[in-house]
Amino acid sequence: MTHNWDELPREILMEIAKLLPRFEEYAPFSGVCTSWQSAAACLYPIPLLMLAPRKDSHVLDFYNLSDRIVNQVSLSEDLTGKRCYSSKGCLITIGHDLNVNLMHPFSNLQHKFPNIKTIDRWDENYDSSYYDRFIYKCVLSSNPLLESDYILMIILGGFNLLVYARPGDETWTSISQRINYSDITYYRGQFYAVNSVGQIMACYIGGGDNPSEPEVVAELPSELLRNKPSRLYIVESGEALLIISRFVYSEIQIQRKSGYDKDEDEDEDEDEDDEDEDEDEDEDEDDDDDVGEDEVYDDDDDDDDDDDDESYDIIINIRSYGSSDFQVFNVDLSTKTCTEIKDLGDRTIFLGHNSSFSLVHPPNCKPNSIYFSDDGMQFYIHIEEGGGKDMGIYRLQDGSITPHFGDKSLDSVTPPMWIEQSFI
Amino acid sequence: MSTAATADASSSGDTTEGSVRLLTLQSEDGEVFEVKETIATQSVTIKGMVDDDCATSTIPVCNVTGRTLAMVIEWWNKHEIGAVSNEKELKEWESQFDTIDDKSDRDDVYDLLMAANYLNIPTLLDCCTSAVAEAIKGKSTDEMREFFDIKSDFDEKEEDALRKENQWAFEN
Repeated sequence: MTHNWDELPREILMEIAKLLPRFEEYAPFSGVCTSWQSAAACLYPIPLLMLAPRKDSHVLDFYNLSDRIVNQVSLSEDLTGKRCYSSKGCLITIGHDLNVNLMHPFSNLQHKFPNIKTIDRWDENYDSSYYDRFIYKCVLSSNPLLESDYILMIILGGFNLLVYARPGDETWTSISQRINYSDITYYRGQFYAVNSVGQIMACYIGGGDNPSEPEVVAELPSELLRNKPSRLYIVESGEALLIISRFVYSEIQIQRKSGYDKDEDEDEDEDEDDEDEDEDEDEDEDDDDDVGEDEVYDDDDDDDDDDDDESYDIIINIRSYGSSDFQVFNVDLSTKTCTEIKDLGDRTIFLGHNSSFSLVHPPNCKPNSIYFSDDGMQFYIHIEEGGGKDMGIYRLQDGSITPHFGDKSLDSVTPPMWIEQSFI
Repeated sequence: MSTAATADASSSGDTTEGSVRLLTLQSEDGEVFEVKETIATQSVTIKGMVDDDCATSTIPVCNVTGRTLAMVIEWWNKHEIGAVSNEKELKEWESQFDTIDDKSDRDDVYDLLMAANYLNIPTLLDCCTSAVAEAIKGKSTDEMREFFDIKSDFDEKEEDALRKENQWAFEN
């Protein structure tokens, strides 16, 4: 009988790798051969920072926090003109055609998801040139490489909708029409969401054509917050469910300029359709959300653009913005209470346009820290070079913020974000 | 380890067991073992067959040789409740699996891993995976490859990149 140790079934290799929890143990183990490597990678994901995609290229760059090296991975499709999100090691993309696709950058796994136009609130008047702002967040219930039956939940920011689909579904199923969802996570077999005012909701999916609205299971008291949070996140950390508030300072100058010469307007290099839109400049009293914001406020409501002579543009000049403070709260679902915690132990949390996640002592990462990437879309869409500046490491111990990526990687459509699981 | 290989299979098939039901197991290479049902059901796989009444005739244990099956049966005998008077004695007996420095010990542990996985015997799987993990700790990638006789199947570029990025892991 032959004894090929590289051909041991993956479940046995994973049992062995489980007993090698220290980086200096599992790193040499995963270098032995591809089967040992992939077993270790399932257990000890190395967080990667996906850098802004190159233009017209199949190559994506990933910055590996464990060795501080940028790795290149060739994808089966070019991501130019697509907006990316990440969850559980997968990329979820949306293009100008509003098709949603899921792909795993380190394997050939791909799944098509329904077009955004299949949501029940779709209106043909919506301007699909804002495809890059429709989706606020994508969250998977589990890693599709490990489980074929999973759910993709999406916060459709611009539509104030929470929708989900399983692979093979033809349409998105709406589960909530409440506004201001800020983040979702999959915790103990169920999705939980947090909205911008700190309500924590359990999302029931599954049975029936009319799934019930998410139920508020706890609330984050505003008096616990040092500042009004720019964004709230919800994340599983070990056995705990955590809410994290992020405070972003910004210095914004708003100018109203009449007789603005639109030809000099530096358009975000998205597509030509935008230019047609720019023809009828108009002030839009648009307020809160992502759809409809631009350097020049576009007219989404195609209503009263009767008097062109008196129209003027609003120029939003973002002088600077950046995260200055974070707070972490533990949610106790049994008592429906939230308490601030100052110590994450050996855990590190990763926040940004990715689905939020927490890892135990990832190699060469600072424990008891929050690694954040830039998700300040309301700011960076007004900046020509795009987003990617607001990145860093927040240490809970002393409140310090230090950089994690030394170089510059900016993009107005897909700024850098975290990838939870790596197979390289 | 060598003592484990000389399990006296016939003792398990003792017909004086009275009302205790015996199961007949046949190894991949045709060896037949009679084992008390109460013992063999330490295997989750066999327990499932017994529960489903599928264990009435000879149970073929594919992928497991007679030599390995004998070791498995000895494991079961030692781990039957009441077979060993105290925990310490059992641990001492199990310690024979701890070192796998010899090639023959490694081969045995490999066979037991495959058998424990196939027959779903959690205690045996835990014991063997610990033995392998202990052997791995402190070894560099190159040492592990030599120890387990594994040839790298990374392509040249990947191997180069791995070596550059994790030189310490390869060379210790």
